[in-house]
Amino acid sequence: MNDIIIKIKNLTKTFDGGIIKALNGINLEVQEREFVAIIGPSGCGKSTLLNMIGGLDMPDSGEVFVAGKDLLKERDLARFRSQRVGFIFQLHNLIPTLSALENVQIPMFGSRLTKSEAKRKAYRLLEMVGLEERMESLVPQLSSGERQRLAIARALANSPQIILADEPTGNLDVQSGDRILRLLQLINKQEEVTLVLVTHSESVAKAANRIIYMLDGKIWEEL
Amino acid sequence: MSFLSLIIKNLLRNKIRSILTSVGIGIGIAVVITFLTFATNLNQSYMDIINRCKGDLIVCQKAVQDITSSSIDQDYIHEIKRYKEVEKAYGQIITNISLRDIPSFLIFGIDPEDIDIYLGSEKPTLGKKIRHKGEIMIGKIASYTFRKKVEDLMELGPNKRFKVTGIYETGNAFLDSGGIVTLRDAQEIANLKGRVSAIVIDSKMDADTRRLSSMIEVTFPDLLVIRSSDFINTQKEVKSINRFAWIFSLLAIVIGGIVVMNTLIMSVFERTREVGILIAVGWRRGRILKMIWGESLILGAIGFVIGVILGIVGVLIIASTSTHINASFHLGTFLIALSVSLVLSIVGALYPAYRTSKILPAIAIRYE
Ligand SMILES: Nc1ncnc2c1ncn2[C@@H]1O[C@H](COP(=O)(O)OP(=O)(O)OP(=O)(O)O)[C@@H](O)[C@H]1O
Ligand SMILES: [Mg+2]
Repeated sequence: MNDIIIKIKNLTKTFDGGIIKALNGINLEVQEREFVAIIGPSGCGKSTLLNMIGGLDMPDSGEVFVAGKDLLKERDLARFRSQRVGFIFQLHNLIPTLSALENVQIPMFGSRLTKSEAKRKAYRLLEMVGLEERMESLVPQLSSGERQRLAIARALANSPQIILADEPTGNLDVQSGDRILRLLQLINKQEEVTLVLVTHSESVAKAANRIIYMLDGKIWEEL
Repeated sequence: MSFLSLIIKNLLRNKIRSILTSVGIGIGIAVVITFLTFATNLNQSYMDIINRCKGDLIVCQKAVQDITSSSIDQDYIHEIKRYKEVEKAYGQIITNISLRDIPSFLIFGIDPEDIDIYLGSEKPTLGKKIRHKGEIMIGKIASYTFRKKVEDLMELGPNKRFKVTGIYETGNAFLDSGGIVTLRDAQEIANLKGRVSAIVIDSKMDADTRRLSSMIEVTFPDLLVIRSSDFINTQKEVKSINRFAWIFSLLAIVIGGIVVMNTLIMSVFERTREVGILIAVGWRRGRILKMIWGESLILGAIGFVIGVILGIVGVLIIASTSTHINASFHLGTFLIALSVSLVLSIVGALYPAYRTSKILPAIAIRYE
């Protein structure tokens, strides 16, 4: 039995002064090295939940423990984000004026790596996602699929324990979507990274070990 | 990739905007340099004349704008010489006349015996010192502007012809662009028969000059006694030029600050989502602020370089149109300009930095 790496209790989050209940009492546990897909219709609160796990937003009530940290009490969320989690978003993940290699180095500012170590590590990560030949390319020169692979490489920059992917295949064709999913599966296995992926596609969700259904800010069903 | 190269890449995103911003700062800096240079040079020229006179006190007419419009009876010279504290006292005339296209030609009138107070004991660069009525020595700049050599004749008004006996160079813009004649001649030129502009007092070694000046002022209510070291602060022209220099510089600084701030606000606003991403990948807000301040400092540094170039060109151009103004530069002016550009960078980034620190990552990431 693996340890629990994400533990969420009675989490609620409202917007616009309580009118919009984005999260309405979420309870969730994720084990280390698990690959979990969260699926649900648009507006059901998937991204909001993911932001809570990544320490990007604060809930109204409830508890969030991630990688041994109580995020509601954590003082140094920047450090937590930099070292424990890696984010992949659906669109506009990257800094457009920087090259692929430089984008991967962005999270490494402030880490203990020297400049050349950072560069070497970034190169290795690009190799892993199959972009080493595009390392000098600027983001706008890359295809959407390549950009998502680049985002994956960047998410791994500081060797996080958890990767949070918000619709990483959302605007890709089936083929490039599959490639991303296979890559994420590989990372999940080889790098022993816990993976939480948000999608509204059943077929994408099937790549995961466990699927969680969300509706109206609640977890509806787990498979 | 270093942090600096990241900052530079950010500035290169919108090259035109970065260049325009730097030029904006540069113009502000150029204004500061130009005005401060002239103000400093003017102050120095005044100070220099006073220092040359080597007196402790200067007596002139009460309630006048500056020394060129002061006139007092020359008999006061004898009255003043009677005080036991006075070692020496001499009258002089400083007057401003217009000559052909030259709107202002400064004429210094002094007793030929006392001419050393302007020129020191050195000989003129060319020719001889004046001795008699009808003779004039002119400064190097004046000899240039009027194309006069030694032995040439110079016309200073109807039926007032002077023979140039010598040409001198003192380094003082007022003296070098003007001329020296005998006190008598100067009185005639200035229409001040029997009067002088000011009396310079050289007091005895251990004299109480404070007491001396109040005694003179009490005895002769139409006289004003100024300590040489305070003289410059009593001259309206100097005061107003100094004030102008500071007002224009302040204006330039305010405009420069607005330019920097506007640019940074725009560029931060455009990058809202990126800031969200930087926070998501674990950047501390401090690092993001450092990045914005870095951009601002580089804009300021480029602006400073542009400003120095424009400022020097500006000073040279303006100096070439006037003989009174010399184009010497002072390190202090450039240090002030440098600190101005630093302050512009820092202050200009304050509000944008504040805005950035208010960006909520969860919301920023939803930005399209
Ligand atoms: N910053 C915000 N201000 C106001 N309302 C918000 C904000 N963020 C989210 N919401 C609302 O909260 C609800 C959940 O939003 P969320 O983005 O989590 O949905 P989602 O499941 O990720 O949807 P999608 O599949 O379309 O991405 C929505 O109704 C949304 O409008
Ligand atoms: Mg979403």
